[in-house]
Amino acid sequence: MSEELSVTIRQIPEVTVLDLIGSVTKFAEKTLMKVYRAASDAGAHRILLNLSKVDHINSSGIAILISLVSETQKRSQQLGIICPNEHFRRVFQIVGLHQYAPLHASEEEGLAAMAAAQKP
Amino acid sequence: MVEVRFPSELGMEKCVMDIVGTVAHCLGFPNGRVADLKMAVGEACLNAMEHGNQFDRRRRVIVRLSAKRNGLEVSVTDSGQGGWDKVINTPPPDLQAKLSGESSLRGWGMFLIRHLVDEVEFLKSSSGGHQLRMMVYRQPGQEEQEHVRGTIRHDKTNPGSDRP
Repeated sequence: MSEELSVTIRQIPEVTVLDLIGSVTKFAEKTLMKVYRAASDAGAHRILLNLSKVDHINSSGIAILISLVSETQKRSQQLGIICPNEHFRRVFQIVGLHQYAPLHASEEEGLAAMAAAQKP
Repeated sequence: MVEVRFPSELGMEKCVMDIVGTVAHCLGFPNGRVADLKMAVGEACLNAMEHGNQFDRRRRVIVRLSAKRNGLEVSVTDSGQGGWDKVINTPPPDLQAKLSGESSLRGWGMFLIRHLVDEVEFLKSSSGGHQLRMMVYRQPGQEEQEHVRGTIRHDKTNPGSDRP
């Protein structure tokens, strides 16, 4: 069960994309936070969490995402979530996560939003 | 009526979600409602396994699906004796408090269930455990009067209104 989620880091100029594949549940915590901290230690300031290939999220997974949002706040990082899945977006809005990490329907949209946020 | 019985073991809830999704699709539920129902049932199963049965895999969770004219009624029953009070009586989660570390990051399951289904009712089961009964209509709010009579209705503007 501990391999339900895989996370890889992809660097696009100025933006670090974390690509998640699988399920975001209780078992995802170790993997996701380890990769996030490695990206942060490498100097990531703008992070896009790509949930395009996530097929399942539950309440424990939401708690992990909140933990990640909390970490980005402490490190003054900019975080966005790529989430084409309408149901997941609805759930994040119910929880209120979208107020702290903007939701984007595509990677292009997320990158454009990050670029726009950089402009003075 | 469809009935599923399974041991209190993490991961089983995903099998039940797939079954519920298949039934809801067969009954003509739109995709969004199927997703709402699957997540609500998954959370109810997790609560039953954790809070009702303390993840004792010898204790079963029973899920019953019953098709109604405009929707689907789902009950999730555990065989446990305690642990639910904390879940039922906890106020709605405060995201800001969780982000600042003032409260536990967990505690979203019941909150989500209340938002995703049309009716929620919490009962003591005849076997001594607990039962969470949920009603989901094909379209949100598409009420079926003969089935809502006598139930505790969920008020979307006040997620805590169905607490005992």
